[in-house]
Amino acid sequence: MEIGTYVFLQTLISGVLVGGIYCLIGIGLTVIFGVMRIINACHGDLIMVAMYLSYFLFRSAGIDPLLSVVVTAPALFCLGWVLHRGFITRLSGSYAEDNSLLLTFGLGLVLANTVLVLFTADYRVVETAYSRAVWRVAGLSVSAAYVFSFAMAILVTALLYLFFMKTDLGMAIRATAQNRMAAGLAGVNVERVGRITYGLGAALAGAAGALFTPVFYLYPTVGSLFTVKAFEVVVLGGMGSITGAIFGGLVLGVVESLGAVYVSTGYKDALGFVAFVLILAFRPAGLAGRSRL
Amino acid sequence: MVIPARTAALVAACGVAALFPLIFRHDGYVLNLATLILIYGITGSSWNLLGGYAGQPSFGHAAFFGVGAYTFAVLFPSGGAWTVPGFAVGGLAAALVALPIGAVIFRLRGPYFALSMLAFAEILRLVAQNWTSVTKGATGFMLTPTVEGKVAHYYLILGVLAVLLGITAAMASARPGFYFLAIREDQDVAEALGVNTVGYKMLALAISGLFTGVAGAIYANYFAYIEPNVVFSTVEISLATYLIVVLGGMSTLFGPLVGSAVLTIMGELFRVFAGTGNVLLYGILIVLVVLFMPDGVVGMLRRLGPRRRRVGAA
Amino acid sequence: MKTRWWLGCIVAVAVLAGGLAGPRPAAAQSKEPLRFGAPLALTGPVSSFGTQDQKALDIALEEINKAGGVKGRPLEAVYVDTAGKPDVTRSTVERLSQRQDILFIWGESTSAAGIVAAQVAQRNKIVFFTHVAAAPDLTSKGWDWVFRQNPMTIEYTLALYDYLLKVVKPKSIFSVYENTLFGQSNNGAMKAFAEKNGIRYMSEGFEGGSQDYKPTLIKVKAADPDMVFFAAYLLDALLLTRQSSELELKPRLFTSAGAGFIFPEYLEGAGKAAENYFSAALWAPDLPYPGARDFDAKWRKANNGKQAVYMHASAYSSGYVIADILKRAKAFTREAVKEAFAATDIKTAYGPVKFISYERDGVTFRNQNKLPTILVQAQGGKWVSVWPPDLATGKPAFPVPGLKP
Repeated sequence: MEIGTYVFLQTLISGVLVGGIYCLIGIGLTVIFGVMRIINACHGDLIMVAMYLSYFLFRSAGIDPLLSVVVTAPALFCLGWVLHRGFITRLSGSYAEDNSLLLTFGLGLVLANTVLVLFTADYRVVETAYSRAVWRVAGLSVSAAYVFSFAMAILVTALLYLFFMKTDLGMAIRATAQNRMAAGLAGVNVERVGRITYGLGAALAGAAGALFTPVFYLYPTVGSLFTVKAFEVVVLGGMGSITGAIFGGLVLGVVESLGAVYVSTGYKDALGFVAFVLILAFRPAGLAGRSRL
Repeated sequence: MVIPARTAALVAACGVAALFPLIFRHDGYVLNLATLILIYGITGSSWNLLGGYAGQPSFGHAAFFGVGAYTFAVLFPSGGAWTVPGFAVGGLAAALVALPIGAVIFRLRGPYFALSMLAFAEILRLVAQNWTSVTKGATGFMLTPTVEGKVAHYYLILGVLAVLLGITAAMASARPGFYFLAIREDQDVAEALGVNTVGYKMLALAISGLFTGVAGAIYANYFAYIEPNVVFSTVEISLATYLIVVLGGMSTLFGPLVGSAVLTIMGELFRVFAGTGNVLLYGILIVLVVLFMPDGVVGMLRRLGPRRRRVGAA
Repeated sequence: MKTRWWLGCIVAVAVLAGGLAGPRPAAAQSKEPLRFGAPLALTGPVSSFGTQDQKALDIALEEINKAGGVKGRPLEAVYVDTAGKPDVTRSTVERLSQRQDILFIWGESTSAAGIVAAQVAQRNKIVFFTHVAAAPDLTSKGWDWVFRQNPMTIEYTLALYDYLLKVVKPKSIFSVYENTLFGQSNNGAMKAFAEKNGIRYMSEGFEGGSQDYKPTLIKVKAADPDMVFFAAYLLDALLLTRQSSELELKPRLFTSAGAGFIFPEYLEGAGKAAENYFSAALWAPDLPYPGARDFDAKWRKANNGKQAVYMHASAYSSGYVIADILKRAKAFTREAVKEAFAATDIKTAYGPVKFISYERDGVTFRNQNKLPTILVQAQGGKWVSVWPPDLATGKPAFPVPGLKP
C-alpha cells in the first residue's frame, strides 16, 4: 500500500476506534444533561470509580472486566442515586444552576481523592488475553480491545433507544426532558425521574469504566481526562441527544487523530477545544442538529 | 458620635493591611502568605466583576491570568523598578485577548459560558506549552523581579488591589453597575428594556480580563518563575478563583478578599496537617460551601447585620 | 443584631490569627538531632518519585544513625509534601528557612519545584542540595547556595551521543517527547546534537496521559527514521512501546532518555516489545562504585525484589554526602554548612561527588557534580550497561534483530 494512503487509513481507523471510546464516555453525560440540565463535572470520576471496582474484581476473583459490567453498572447506579439525593438536590440559593458545575466539580475532586487516599497514586494495569490483541487487516493494525468498546457503545445506544421509546419509564424521562412542568402536570414524578436519570447516567459511566479497564492505565485522577472528552463529545453531538453522542464521539476521535498526524501532536487536544467552542457559539444544537433525547 | 460598626471594622481592616508587613517584616513565611492572599484577592475581585456583579461566572479565568503572566515575562524579563508599568501591559494583553473571546461566546449563558471559558484557557495553555521559541514551553520562564524584598512587593500589590476595589465600587454604584445587575437578574428582560446587554457584558469581560491579567503579571514578577501548567491551570487558578468568590460572597466588594484569605490559609492548614488528603479536604470544602454557604462569608455576615434594603451591590 | 455583627468580625479575625499561628512549629525544640528540610512530592502525579526517594534516603539515614550519627547526634530529615507544585514548594521552603534548627534544604521531585526551592533558598541564605532535579537552570545562575549531585538533562544522553557517533551513525532521528520540562529539555538537546552532526531531525511533542499515541506513531512510521527517540514517564513509556510494536514500527533502533523507561515496572509491563531498546541512564548497580551492588541488594530486599534505579541510588548516597558534610562542618550553622558543601570530595555508591564549576555548550555551571552517564540496553528483560566500554558490563546488540538493518 502506498505510504500516503497507509497513513491516512491507519489514522482514520485509529480515530474511529478512539471515537468509539469517546462515545461511551459521552452517552452517560448527555442523558443526564438532556433531562436535568446538569453539567455533571464528575462524570469522568464516576468512570474512574467503576474502573477501580472492575480492577479489584479482576485481581481478587479473576472476573474478566467485560463481564464485570454486570456489577459496575448497578453499583454506579446506586452511587449516582446517592450523590443526587444527598448533594445535588440540595442546591439552592440565587446561583443554583451555575453552582451545579462547581458542586459536581467538587464531588469529582472528593471521589478522586478518596480513591487516592485509600489506594495511593500508583498506576494499576489489567492485562487480559485481548488487551494487546491486534488484528491485521490489509496491512493495517486494528486494536481488538478498542473494537469491543466500540461494539459495546453501539449496543448500549440501541438498548437505550429501546428503553426510551418502548418503556413507560423511558417515556416519562423523555417527557421530563421535553417540558418539566408539563410532565409534572401530566402526572410524572419529576423528582424521582431526575434521580433515576442521574443514576442511569452513572450506570452508563459504570459500563464505560468496566470496558476501559483492559485498555487504559488506572490512577485516581484519570477521571479528569474522561470528563473533558465527555463534554466535548456532548457538545459536538448535541446536548441531550444519544445518537448525537455517537456522532460527536466519532467526529472528535477522527479530528484528533487526523490533527495529530497532519497538524501537530502537541496541539491535538486544542483541536477538540476549538471545535467545542465553535459549536457552542455557532451551532449550539450540535452537529446532529437536535437537542432532545 | 456613633460610628457605624461597618465603617469601624473597615477602617480597622485597612489599618491592619497597611501596617501588616511592617509588623511581620522579618517573617518571610507570613509575608509570603499575605502576599498570596493579596494576589488571589485581585484575581477574585476581577472575576467578581464579571461573575458576581454581571452574573456571568467563568470557569476559565486562568486564560487571562496566564496571558498576563507570560506577556509580562516575555517583555520584561530583566526586572528593574521602571518595569512596574509592565503590569499594565500584561493586563492590556489579557484585555485584548478578552475581546475576541467575548465576540465569539457572548451569546452563551450560564454553564455554557463557563465551560467555553475553560476551553479557551486550555487552548491557551497548550499554545504556551508548544510555542517554545517564545514561552520556553514546559521548561518554564525565569525572570528577575522588579523590586527586591517582600515588603516592597506587598505594598505594590496592595496598591493594585486598592485601585481595583476603588474602580469596582465606583462602577457598582454608577450606571454600569445597575446595568450589570439587570443583566444578572434577567438578561432577556434587560435587553427588552433597552439595555445594551452585549456591550455591557463585553465591558465586564474586558475589565475583568484586564485586572486578572495584571494579577498574572504580578504573580510572574513575584514568583520570578512561571510555567504553563501553573499559570493556565484550571484547578489551581480558574477553579480556585471561582471558589474564592463564592466562599467570600459573590457581588460583594470585599467578598473575594475575605474568600482569598480564608482559602489560602485553609489551604496551608490542609497541607500541613492532612498530607495526602489535602486535596480531598479541598473538595469537601467546595461541596460544603456550595451547598450551605452559597452567599459566602460576607453574604452571611450581611444577613446577620442590621436589615437594610439592598440596592445594587456593595 | 449589632452584637452579632461584632461576633462575626471576631470569628473571622480569630480564624485568620489561628491560621497564621497554626502551621508554625512550637518555639521550644529539642536541639538534639541535626535537622534538614526535605520538601518533596509525596502526593500528586509524581508522588511515586517522592515516596521512593524518601524511602531510599531513610535507608541511608537509618544506617548512619545506627553507626552513631554525626558527632553523636542523629540526622533527621523533616519531610514536607509539596505535591511537586512550585507554589507549595515556595511556601514550604520559606517556612523551613524560618526555623532555626533547619541547617539546609534537600529535595525536590520536579525540576520546576527545584528551581523555586533554589531561588528561595538562595534568597534566604540557606543551602539547597538536590540529588535529582535535572533542569540546567538550577546551577547555571551562579547561585552559590545551591548544590547539585546529579547530572543535568543535557548530560543524560552523552553516552548515547557517543555511541551514535562511533557505532550507529544514523541519518535521521525522530523524537517523540512529553511536553514537560524533562521531555522538552531532552528534545532540545537531541535536536542540537542532530544539527551539529548533520542528521535529519523530526519531532513531535505530546501531552502526557493521552492514552492513544497511534496517530503520532503512524506519523513516525511514515517518516521511516533510522532512530526513534522517546522521552516520557512510565505510563506513556509503556503505551508508546506497546503501540509502536502494534503498528510494526521498525527503525534501526529505539532509544530513550531514561526516566519512565528505566523503571523495572517498565520492563515488566512492556515485555517483549521493549527487547533491545536502548536507554540513557545515570547509574546502574553494576557500575564500579563502592557500595553500588550492596545498595541494590538492600533496595531489592525492601521492595519486593525490584531493582534499584538511579534516583534511588542518588537519594541514598546523598544521605552519606550529608553525613560527610556535617562531620566536616566547623559549626552547625548555615554558613559553615555551605563551606563544608563546597569542599566536598567523596566517593559514594552513586559515584564520586565533588561540587565544581565547569562549562558546557558555552554555559558555566557552578556547584555541579560532574558524573559520566551511561547507555543501557534491554537484554533478556533486564537493563544491561553497554556503553561506554570502560563502564559497560555487556555488549550492545546492534544491528538489532527484527528491526531495519
